[in-house]
Formats: sequence, C-alpha cells, structure tokens
Amino acid sequence: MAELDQLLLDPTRLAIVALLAAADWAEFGFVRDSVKLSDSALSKQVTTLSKNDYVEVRKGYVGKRPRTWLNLTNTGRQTLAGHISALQAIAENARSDGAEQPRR
Amino acid sequence: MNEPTPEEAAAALRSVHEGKERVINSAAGSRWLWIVSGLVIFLYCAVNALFPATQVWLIWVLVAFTVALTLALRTRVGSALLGRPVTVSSRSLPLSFSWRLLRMAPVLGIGIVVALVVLLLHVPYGQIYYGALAGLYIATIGPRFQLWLLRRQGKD
Repeated sequence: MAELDQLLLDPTRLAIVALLAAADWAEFGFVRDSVKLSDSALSKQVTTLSKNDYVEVRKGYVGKRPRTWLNLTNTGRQTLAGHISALQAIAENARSDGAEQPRR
Repeated sequence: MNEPTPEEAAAALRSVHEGKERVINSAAGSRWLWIVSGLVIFLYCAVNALFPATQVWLIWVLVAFTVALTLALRTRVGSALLGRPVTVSSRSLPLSFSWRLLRMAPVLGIGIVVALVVLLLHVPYGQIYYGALAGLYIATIGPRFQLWLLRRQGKD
C-alpha cells in the first residue's frame, strides 16, 4: 500500500513538488509566483526538498542575468506518486464510508 | 505521523491538480513565438510561390528555423530566452503518436482544402493562400489548440 510522506504533508511543499511534477524544469521565479511565496521562503523549502533529494537545483545565466531552475528528481517523483495514492485512498475510503452510512 | 482528514486529503489532491494546470497553462509559451512561427510559414509559402527559383535553398532556411526552435525549446536557457519559464514534462504528460498526429491535423487539413479549391477553381498562387491560412491558424488558434491537447493528455 502507498504511504504518506512526512515532508509532503506540508501543503506548501506539496504545492511545490506537484508543480514540478508536471514540468521537466521550472524557473525559480515561476515556482515562486505559482505557489505565492517570497524568494526567501521558497528558498528555504527548496533547500529542505533538495537535502532530501526530492528537488535538483541548477543555476545558470540567460544573457547576463542569473537564473535558477528546479527539477523534481526521480526520488521526488516516486515519493509524490506514493503520497498521491495514499491521499486518494483516504479520500476514497471517506467517500465509500459516506455512501454506506445512509443504508444503516 | 498525523494522517490527514478526508477533507485535507481532498484539498491536497486539488492542489496537485492545480499545479499540473499551472504548468500546462504556461506551456503555450509567449504569444509572440506563435505569431513569429505563423509569419515564417506565410513568408515561406509566399516567397516560394512568387520566386520559384528560391525553392532549393529556402527549404533549408525553414528546416534550420524549425530545428533551432525545437532545440531551443528543449533546453532551459533556450526556453528562458523564448519567454517560457517552464517545460512540460514528457513523463507526466506523454505525447502519444495519435496526439502528435492530431496536433498536425489542422495544418494538414488546411493544406488539403486549399489544394482542392486551387485544383477545382484554378486559383493562381494557391501556396500563398495556404501560407496565409496556415500562418493565421498557427498565430491565433495554435496556442489554444496546444492547451486543449495538453489538458486532454493530462486527463488520460
């Protein structure tokens, strides 16, 4: 059975990882604006995620401007898939319990 | 570990879905890229029709443009230069053969319709009409069609 992941129980971290799951690479600015965090708050979350090998960070330049790109690692993808399955199981169980109750 | 309540689980699943939607919405990229692509197609067809002698080398210009654009969109720096802050994951939204074919279908359809009209009505410079229609399609409907395709793939 799929297991919930402790790190992804935090809604902000889940939002970041879910966003990155649909992307190959995403710019730091895009993730920051999408999850509505400040630079420093996103930086902290990304550090936590990259320490756990969920997110890979690449830095580079576009012209003279420095850019940072984020990528979900295979570990991150697998963990997210398991976490989503576990969430679906919880939601599904609640639905089936709710459907059974009126019959009692 | 505290297990989330069913409401929290549903909210988390909604957040996962919203993340996917945000990436898909940004995948259409910047509008000007579609407009430039439409213009290139129109110019290629118009120059081809008006100056047939250029056909030999003009195709290579088009091929070079297409290859450069495709490669740029596959790299982080290239995508950023072209105004795309994110590249859609081929793992989470795999493009099957039928979807790839469907993406080409409108441009091929326009080609068939224009070719039929040109043949039946003996219209001169059919290529220019094709270029104008295909270019207009790419510049205006192209991004919306791309979004529709990605959303459909996301549901599969």
